Amino acid sequence: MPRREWSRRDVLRQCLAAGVLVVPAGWGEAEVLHAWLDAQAERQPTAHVEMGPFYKKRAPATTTLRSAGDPGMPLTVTGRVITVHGERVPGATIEIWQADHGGLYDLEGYRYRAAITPPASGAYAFESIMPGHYPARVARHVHYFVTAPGHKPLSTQLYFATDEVFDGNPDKNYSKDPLITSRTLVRPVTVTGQPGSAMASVEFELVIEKA
Amino acid sequence: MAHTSAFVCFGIATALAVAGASVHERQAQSGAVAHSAAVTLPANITSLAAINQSSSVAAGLADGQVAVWNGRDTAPAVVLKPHAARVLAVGSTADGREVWSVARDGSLARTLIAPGAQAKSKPVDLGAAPTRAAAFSADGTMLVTGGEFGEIRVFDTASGALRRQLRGHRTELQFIAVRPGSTTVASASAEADLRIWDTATGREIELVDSDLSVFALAFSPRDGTLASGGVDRRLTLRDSTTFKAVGELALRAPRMVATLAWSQNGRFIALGDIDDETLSKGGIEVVDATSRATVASLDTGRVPADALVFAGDIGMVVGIVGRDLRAWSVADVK
Repeated sequence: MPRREWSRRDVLRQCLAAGVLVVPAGWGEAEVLHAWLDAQAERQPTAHVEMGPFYKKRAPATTTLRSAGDPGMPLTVTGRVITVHGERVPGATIEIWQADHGGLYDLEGYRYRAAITPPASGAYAFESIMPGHYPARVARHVHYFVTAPGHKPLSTQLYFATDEVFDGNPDKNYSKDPLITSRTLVRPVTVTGQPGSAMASVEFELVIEKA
Repeated sequence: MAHTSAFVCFGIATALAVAGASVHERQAQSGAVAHSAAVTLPANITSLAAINQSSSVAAGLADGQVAVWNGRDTAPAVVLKPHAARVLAVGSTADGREVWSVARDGSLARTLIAPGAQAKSKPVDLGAAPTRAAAFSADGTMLVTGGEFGEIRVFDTASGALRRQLRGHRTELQFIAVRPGSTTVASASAEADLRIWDTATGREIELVDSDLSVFALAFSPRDGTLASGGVDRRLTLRDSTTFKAVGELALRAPRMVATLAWSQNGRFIALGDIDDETLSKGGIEVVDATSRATVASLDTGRVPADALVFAGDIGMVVGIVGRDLRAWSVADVK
């Protein structure tokens, strides 16, 4: 007898029929499915990357890092902070710092530095510019330091698949930067708009572990 | 005292590779003291320490060797092979007859300073996380290491036993220093936190809060004054008991403090700087610890020094400059 292949939706329907799921009133099947998959799928924690020398405490609480007229391609980063089980992380703080368009870090002030406190959903977003190439590093990058009560701190970095150092092939070339510890940190970039006024957007999910 | 800086090992090495800077480049600096001797070693130099009762220094290498140099000759006096992996820190026994060294593979070695001497080696448990900083006490009896995730481990070198695990830092260790003749240790991590510990009790004595990372720490052999510096472009001197700042020397941008060393008499500090824009340019100044006046500038050809020591009681500063060990005679600091 041929074995029946069960889809996740089939499994969910069986679970619902057996009354083993408790869901909030008003949730549709798709929302329940999404939540169930989130809870079941164990994610890998976001790869650790060293903090490097230029972290600065007491960054301002803002999601707007760029100012009008700043050189560099405007960049929007979105994502969320979750646990390896897809759970929300109450009380998380995301600290971000990056080089300016010219590849320099602001050590005297707080340009291109921010501390973000995501809402209960864990979603975060910020507006910045595509960082320049810091002369002592290979790839453009944004530093992250994520902390939350009861969870291990996460130091990591976001990289860009469109970075010219990857020669259009980040799968093959991501290790050109010896500090990139995982291909998963090199994120796809969506560029919209006309040349000269193009904007980049990137999604970067932050998965942290319980302490 | 051994000096191994995570910043030095990773940051500057990367910077030189990327910038293509020649470590042999020498550009005369006006009024700067030229080095009196230099030796090029067979592998990258990872760590440096003055040898007790001697004017020589020990240098740990990336290939597991340890070279001993007198600061005068064109070749090391002895090259030992105590390890099969990158050396993290070097030190010496109190009588200066043997060198201590620890390597990335967790081997701790004590080796007689003599041609062909075999190391007495034992394993130590450095933990699962990569070691980012390490230092021996001045008398070689204690080894302190710091890891990628902030844990500090304290070992008794005679037995190799792990005596303490100190937790407080959360990020990679940038530097560790042990106060001579004491159980006090200072440690700095990338999260811009400087912590002072008593390794005898395992207690954190002080947390010095700052905004920017510290790369370099050194205790005065005379009175325990702690010198620190880093991204804040400032040499800060801290009282040996309260660790409150008692003196400062500001550097002009883009210079940051990369490495520090005290003279044996506690009167002078050698300060190696590095620029924040490329991490590939720098120099060395010798500073009067009381007046903070510069008494000598040492010519490095604008290549930053990775680590510095004062060799013995004589007026000689030795530094790692690229693949070289260089020595500068500085008569004023005898």
